[in-house]
Amino acid sequence: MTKSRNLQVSGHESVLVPFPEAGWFEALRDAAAADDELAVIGRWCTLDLVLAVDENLVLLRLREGRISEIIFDPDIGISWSVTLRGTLEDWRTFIRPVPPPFYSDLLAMNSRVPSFAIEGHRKTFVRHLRALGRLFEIARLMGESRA
Amino acid sequence: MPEFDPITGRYLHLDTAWGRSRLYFEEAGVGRPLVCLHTAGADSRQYRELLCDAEIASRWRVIAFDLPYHGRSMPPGAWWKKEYLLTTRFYADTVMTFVRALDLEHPVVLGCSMGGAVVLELARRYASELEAVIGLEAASKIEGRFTDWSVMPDVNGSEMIATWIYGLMAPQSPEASRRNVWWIYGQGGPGVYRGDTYFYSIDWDLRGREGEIDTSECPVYLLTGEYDYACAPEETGSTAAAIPGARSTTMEGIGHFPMAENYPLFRRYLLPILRDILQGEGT
Repeated sequence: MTKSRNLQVSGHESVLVPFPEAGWFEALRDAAAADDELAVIGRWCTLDLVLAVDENLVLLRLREGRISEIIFDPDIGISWSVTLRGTLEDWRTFIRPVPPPFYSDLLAMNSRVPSFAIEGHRKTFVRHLRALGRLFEIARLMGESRA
Repeated sequence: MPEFDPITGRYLHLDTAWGRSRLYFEEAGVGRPLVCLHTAGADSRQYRELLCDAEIASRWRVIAFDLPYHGRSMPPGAWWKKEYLLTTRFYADTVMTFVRALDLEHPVVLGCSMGGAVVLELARRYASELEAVIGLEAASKIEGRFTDWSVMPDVNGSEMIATWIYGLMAPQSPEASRRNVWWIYGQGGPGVYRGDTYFYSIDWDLRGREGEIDTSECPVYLLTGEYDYACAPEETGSTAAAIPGARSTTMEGIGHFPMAENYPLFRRYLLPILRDILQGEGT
């Protein structure tokens, strides 16, 4: 059984691995850290966010708009405020460079894709909507550059 | 030589349901009147590219106004003492008061989102005064948009609303246009988007009354973008099916703000409708 793994990897080669492997999140962390827009709007974005992919959880600790930690399968002692829950297919569709209708936005999926949900403290999610929107736009741009 | 848009902006003083109001409007072109209604929480700048379209301006007098509380139309009266909630009566009456004040004879009224909803209401109530209506992103009922998020003190309402509606657009629409839509929303007054959604998410409901629209007197054209998740194409299609004679088309590669997020693509859907209306008039 997998226990908590803290992947605070720094300075690494470009990893072109599929979502949701560790290398994908590391690439997202690096791309987010290098993003001009997130540098402007992310300064007030500090929250702990979980992406639930089927039964697997990935905790992103966001600190001032940067991904400071990536924790796979967080153990019982770890808490967070918002969970974005979807199937692997939901997530892979969402991060396509040009996703199909209803998969182009987290709130779109929340209202139109039955297997996807925004859970937890939803107001916290809404408070950080702009920065989170940019974060996932960066995820799409990563896919675009790989295509 | 200075470079000007072909748009002229003016203010019009009107008695509306809110009291004496000073409405800002823009216009361009000559010909049959085409009145354009902006979306919730936005203003007439959404129609800039349509107003600048020389082909349309050669046959149509295009007019777009800011509803009170929006854009350059200030809230009338002691607005700070009242919660802003747009009602069907206020909205429909204001549009028709504007139309009559400018002596617009049988205009075509085009509206998007809440504007798309109200043109259906106008077709139901005022068919004899209108040439036709064009509803963008419209259906008999749009639920789920009225929330208190944007007025909560620990939420940045302008950024939250702008980002919420940003996700309604097609990701392949030009980024600069999508960012402009975001910017206009970021400039909306506090509580105005919420108050506008009261109209179409709470107050107005055409369900079961679609048959009251007489399309032989006022033709109804509906266009909805395939990426619109607030008003999905199948919901528009159901409304069109319930209005005898209404025509409905799904716009591929477009979201909730067709005229603003991707005007070059949108006009491909709009031009045939405008031609159809002119042919129907025998011009």
